[in-house]
Amino acid sequence: MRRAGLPVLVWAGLAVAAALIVARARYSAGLSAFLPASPTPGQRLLVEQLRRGVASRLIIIAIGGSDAATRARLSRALAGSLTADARFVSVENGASAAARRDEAFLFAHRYLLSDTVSAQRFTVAGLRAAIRNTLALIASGLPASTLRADPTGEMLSVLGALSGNRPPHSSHGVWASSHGRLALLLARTRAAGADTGGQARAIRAIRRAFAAARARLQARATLRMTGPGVFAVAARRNIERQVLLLSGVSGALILTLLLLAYRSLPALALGLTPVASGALAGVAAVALRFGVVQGVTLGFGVTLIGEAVDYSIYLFVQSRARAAADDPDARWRRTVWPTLRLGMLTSVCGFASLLPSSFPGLAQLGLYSLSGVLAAGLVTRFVLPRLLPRRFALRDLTALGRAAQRLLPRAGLARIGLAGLAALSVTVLYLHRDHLWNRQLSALSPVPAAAQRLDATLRADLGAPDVRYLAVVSAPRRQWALEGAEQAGHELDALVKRNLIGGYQSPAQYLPSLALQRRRQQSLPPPTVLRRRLRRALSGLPLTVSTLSPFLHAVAEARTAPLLTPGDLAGTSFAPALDALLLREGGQWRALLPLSAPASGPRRFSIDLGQVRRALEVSAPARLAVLDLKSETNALYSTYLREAVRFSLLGLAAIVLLLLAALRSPARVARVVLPLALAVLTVAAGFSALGVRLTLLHVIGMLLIVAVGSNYALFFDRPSESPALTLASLLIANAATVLGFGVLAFSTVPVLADLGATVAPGALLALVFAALLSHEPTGSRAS
Amino acid sequence: MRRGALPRLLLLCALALCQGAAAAAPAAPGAPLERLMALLAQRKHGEATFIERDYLTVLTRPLSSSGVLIYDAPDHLEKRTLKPHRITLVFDHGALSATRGGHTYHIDLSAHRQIAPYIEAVSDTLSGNRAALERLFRVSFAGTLARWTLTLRPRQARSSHLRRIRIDGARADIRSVDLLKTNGDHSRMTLGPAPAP
Repeated sequence: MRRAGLPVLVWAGLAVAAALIVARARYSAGLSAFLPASPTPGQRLLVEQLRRGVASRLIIIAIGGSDAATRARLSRALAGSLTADARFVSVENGASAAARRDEAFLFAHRYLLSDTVSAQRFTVAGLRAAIRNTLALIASGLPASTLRADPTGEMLSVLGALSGNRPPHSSHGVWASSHGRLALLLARTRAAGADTGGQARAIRAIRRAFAAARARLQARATLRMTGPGVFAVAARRNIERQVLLLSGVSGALILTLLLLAYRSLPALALGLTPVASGALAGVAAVALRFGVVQGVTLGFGVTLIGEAVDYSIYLFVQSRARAAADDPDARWRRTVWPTLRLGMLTSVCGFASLLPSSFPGLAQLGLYSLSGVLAAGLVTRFVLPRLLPRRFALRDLTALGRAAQRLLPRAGLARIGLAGLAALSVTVLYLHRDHLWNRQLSALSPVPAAAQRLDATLRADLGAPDVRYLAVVSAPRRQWALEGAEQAGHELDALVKRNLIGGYQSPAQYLPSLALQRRRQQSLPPPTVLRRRLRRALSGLPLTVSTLSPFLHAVAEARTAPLLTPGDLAGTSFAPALDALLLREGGQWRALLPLSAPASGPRRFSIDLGQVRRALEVSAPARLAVLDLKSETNALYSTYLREAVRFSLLGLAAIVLLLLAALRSPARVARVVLPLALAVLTVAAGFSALGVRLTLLHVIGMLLIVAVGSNYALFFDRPSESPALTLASLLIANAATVLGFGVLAFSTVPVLADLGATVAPGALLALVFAALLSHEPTGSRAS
Repeated sequence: MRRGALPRLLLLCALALCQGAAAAAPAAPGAPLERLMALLAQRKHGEATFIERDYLTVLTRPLSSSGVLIYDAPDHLEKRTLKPHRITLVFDHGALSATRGGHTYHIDLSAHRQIAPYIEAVSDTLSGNRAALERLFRVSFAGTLARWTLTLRPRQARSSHLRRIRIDGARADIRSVDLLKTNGDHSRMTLGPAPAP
């Protein structure tokens, strides 16, 4: 072991340390990889909504199969057992009991909740007008059952203000989908949407409760769930499964390839040492820097395999010459290592350009690959040669290289062909210039499109908020936030009248500010005054004061009743609604007012936020923001995309500068860069021609084509004693890369698939183009 | 709005819609009630104007209203009150809703056990389903097909809010519907020809 020496000891020590870090790191396969790390205030709100907001906690449960009556029974059974479950804040299925509780609450507190309660309302003229209106409504078909207790119709005002929420269809007393084939329930989890573990537990509880109810009722029914939490859990499972499966498959394929090439198990084991070291170093670096390792990052692991496997291949394939030399390592260090080092540094430049990305997934990928490639390179340089047996020699692969050389066409012909290809690619890209990019964040979403469609349909059926448009009032105190929401509500009422918005929800509808409640309470006249006014107001009307004694009673009680507090809402469906719309975040209270788009008119289904903002600015509190979460989300993604393009270009510039410094010849740099640029161009044109719009990950893939392909171009650029052997080593390295990324292309996680589909063909093309463009075409020297 | 019973309205509305059934339809054989039900069942669409007077015990004078009734077989009923306020009640495919001032309120029938059987009975009546009607009411027929009176009394009188419904008609034309509730409230709806289109 004397040959081993210090480097091997250092390597072994570092490997153990890295393994410890890796073992103790936290891993997350949720969607947080897609949310920005250092958001702007607007983005912070968006992220907050996505992670913990109103919509993030909703699980829509759909019961299908069997018949409507059975589905309704299952719905009731399920709601019953889940309501008792602490994992859920509320479970609603439209059953009448909950509706009656809500109504009883509203009726009991109508004088504090109704926005028509004012001093004017309780003057003689006000009372008379209100009562006449109520009588006319009763004549027109309204039930008369509450006339005696509520002759001024305050309950109607309260219901009218809440009617922005269209109730779902109902079948057999419980909510049903619009086509009637599904019974629907709406569960609000205690766990936030971003708490994937908590969401998974809630989903399991629903499954168990459903299975029990189904067994009890002996029904043949099916259960489906949708919602952000459901998606997050499914995505996590999908990502975890894919990471394991893809790493396994690509690993097995690459092992097979190397075994076929080396025909030696020790060589295989040694060849994987740099890769394994790199992976270990990469995960350890990410864990140290970010605290949490994203599952997607591990999925990108092949990016590293694609690059790092090459190093040992270059070392081994040249090993026959090495074995013959007096000082084999010195010879290798002189001939192969400088090229390899330059290739490694170009890759480092490429990956480093991802580090500043605000998309955590990308930043992690950059750090992982960068540290992995560095570690693999260093291991190949300092450790691997010392581990090799003295007379280590791989079987001769010259024949393979020669065979490949014969396939290459004549240089002149090849260059004309490539020029034609470049022209064609540019034309294709130009023709598709308006449809090049996919600017929707959903392009990255690991949720299948079919699941997203089901979600949208059920959500519309339930009238569940998809919370696209949101007015947000921020204030340091709860009461101030509620008062702000009330002010904003006045403006929004006017917008509803102008049909600029369809309606809105506000926490103040369930819980008016104490100030407003007090104002309403103080506008109620004392019993003797009210009785006197009522007598005068009723003159000529078909009602007597004694008939309305329940009204006199109710007003007298309301005058001295304690004001409403959040606790009074307990047991009604307004409690979870209030929880969702009135939040406390780090010392700030936020009142959220979801706006719904007009259901008719020229601006059907969309809101002109500019007009809404202008209207709210007039008198609404200063600390008010109006957001379109969908466009915010897409803007966020556009930021990622712009960043990725900009950073990739910077990375490219750094690579060119590095090559200029190392090769000291613009012509040589051009020869190295040209085939890579051509490969990127061809791949981009290929996607466009196939109708695929480019996403963020395609851009990163192109960066990787440059990072990996630069090795090929550099080896062709380097004068070589055995071009055939060089070509053979590049072929094997390339095959490993193409296999690794090719497998990734079949992933059902879009970010992984996009990356694989870009790099696999790109790396292959980079090799072919580099071979065709090498200054002394290897084909012409083969003889 | 959800609160309270709507049977009065809906039942009246539904039964009244039978007005103007195809007079040329051949009379079915059997007892007069059976033949009346058969006549009613042939109706696929109907429209009529109505004037209603409500005598509520809490009020010292009756309230008046008027509007239009529309029926489409088998289970779409609409009562459009035009005066004094525009309120439309719709019973469609088993769901009840009320529209007022641009807002539509959906009414959960299962939450209003008093209404649900009547609504179903209405559908059954309009589709000529005598068996279903008789499951809920004791039905008595008086007069002749040319000039008849149908009286419906709920079978479960104790839990009902309704004392009786009396319908006067001539062949398939319903002339008036008279309703008496257990609390003494009473209403009378008189039907006229369909409004000019």
